[in-house]
Amino acid sequence: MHILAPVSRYQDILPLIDAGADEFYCGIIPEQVVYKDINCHAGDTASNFSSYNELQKSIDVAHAHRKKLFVTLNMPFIIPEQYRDIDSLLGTIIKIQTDAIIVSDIGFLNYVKARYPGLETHLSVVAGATNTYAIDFFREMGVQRIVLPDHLSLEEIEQISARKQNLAIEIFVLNNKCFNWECVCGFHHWPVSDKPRIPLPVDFLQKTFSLLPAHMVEKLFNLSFIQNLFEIFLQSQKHLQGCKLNYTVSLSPGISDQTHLLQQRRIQQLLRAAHSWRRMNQCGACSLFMAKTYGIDVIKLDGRYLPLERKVKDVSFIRRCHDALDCTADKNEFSRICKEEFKNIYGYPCRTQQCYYPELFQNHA
Amino acid sequence: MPEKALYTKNICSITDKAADGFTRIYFGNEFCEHLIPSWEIIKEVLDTCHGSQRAFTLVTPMVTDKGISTLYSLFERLSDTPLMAGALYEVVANDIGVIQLLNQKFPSLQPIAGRLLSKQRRDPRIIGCVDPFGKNDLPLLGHSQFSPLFIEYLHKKNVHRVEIDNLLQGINDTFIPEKLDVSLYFPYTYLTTSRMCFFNQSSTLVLKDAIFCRNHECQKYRHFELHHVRMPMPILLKGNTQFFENRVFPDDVQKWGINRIIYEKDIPL
Repeated sequence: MHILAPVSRYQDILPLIDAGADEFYCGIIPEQVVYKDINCHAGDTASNFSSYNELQKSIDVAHAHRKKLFVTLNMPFIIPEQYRDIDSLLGTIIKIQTDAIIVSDIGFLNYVKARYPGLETHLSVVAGATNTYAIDFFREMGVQRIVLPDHLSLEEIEQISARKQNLAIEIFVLNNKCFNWECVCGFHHWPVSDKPRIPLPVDFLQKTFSLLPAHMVEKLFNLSFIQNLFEIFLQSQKHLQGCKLNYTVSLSPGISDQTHLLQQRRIQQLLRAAHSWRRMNQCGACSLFMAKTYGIDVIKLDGRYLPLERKVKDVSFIRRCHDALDCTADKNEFSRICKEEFKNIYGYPCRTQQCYYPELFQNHA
Repeated sequence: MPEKALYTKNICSITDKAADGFTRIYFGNEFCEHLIPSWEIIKEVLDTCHGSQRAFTLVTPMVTDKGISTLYSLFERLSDTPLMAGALYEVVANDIGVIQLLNQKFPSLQPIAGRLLSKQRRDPRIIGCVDPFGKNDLPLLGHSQFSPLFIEYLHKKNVHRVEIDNLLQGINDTFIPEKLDVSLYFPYTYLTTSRMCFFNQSSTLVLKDAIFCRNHECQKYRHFELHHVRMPMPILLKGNTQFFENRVFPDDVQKWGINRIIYEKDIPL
């Protein structure tokens, strides 16, 4: 299995090669492009290359080390008015030898296949290939690789992988897993504020929470003081997705019975648990054991927006877990190794609530 | 005048007086494969439709392979059912795999591209949001229903009708699909959906409990409202799905090829 790592700066490439990355993906929003909303994190400058020159240098370095680099154009809303504009971008990135593009819009994929039949295309997670018939559909459309939605269970991944034929299959195992199905989510990622972004000290919080039992952390997040702190942080966010708002739950008009009141309280607590835990780093490294058995081709790491130091940790961690697959044929032993590596790399133990796949939740529970 | 379809999950409402004037019944579920109705219930709805001279459309959700298998057996039975006035039974597909399945195995069923396949920007905050890139991208907000090249591909798959939501930003002027029928859902606009269901009861209140549907808990409760100062209207949460309500009907719907209005009696979940 290959490890596909996110990059957003030329400086990312060499350290990530050293850490064990096999391939790279990136976004690019060059000045020359008129309509810039062309990938799912287009509005976030930390997630994208800003010039062809930087992309060219990165590709050159990657190729010199026999690594591939792919460019994502995975906005699901690409419309014909943008095609001409993106066409010039495509012409340039093909010329500088980008190895493949990642797309999700079916109309745009149709366009790319007609205009650049030789260009390798990968289907983004945002396209939502959730079953084997969808895989057939996209195979017919000519994609070479498919990123499976991260809400699929391992059993479902196995079923799809068994019918992949000539396609390469990628799965996610690390970092932010959207709470909603990304492929059909109507919330936009556009800025709703001009305020500068205050980064959440994820590693610090993780370490702090790891010292407490899970139920206590849940209780902590339900304290109004903690909620207010989160709210202050959230209000400072420039890119505040609708799914990340700290909602208050109320009953629908005219309903006030005890059953609904209880459910209201439950939903509010679940919402807060989701709200807080989804900000933490999710991990499905234990699933590499099954992924190898299922014939998964690529392990994809989320996090174009992350600082280089964190990207290096992520790649090193997955590389070590991946290499451990050769040392054991026992699933539980592999899981133990992954947990140990997690603690070694990140400095705190992995937690049940961070498990990426439902099966792993159950195994840990 | 656009055709009037009634979207209901309650069989009684088909024969209700309030259903007068509706010539088509939408039945099924768009958002959860655990809520795909059984053939026995579908048959009952079909018989009621036959009895009241109404056309029938089966609504289907985004599915995994397990859902595909459930739908496969329903489609087998539906395609064996005698037609009503010679019209094909319609199936609203909200998953590209379901369109592929219908195409490959059930050519006698008429596929429709459901609203989950229309990549619309549905966020209510879209009114008045900040353009991150200057002014160029803001006009694009209203677009993004079905692009012509997507439609071209859908035609190849025997899809001749697409469905859209009634969004706050309205329907963009450039959305005039040729040779394509369009349906509009009213008044509940779909916003987002998840594999995790907030309605699942659990004693431990950890997130993992929300993932697995147990006893169709969502069917036991009314919807709940989610409020936040940044959201201009309440979000309506039912089960795994969020909606908002937009009762402002767009002007001159036929201009955009909209020839069917799907009235949602309740939140469609």
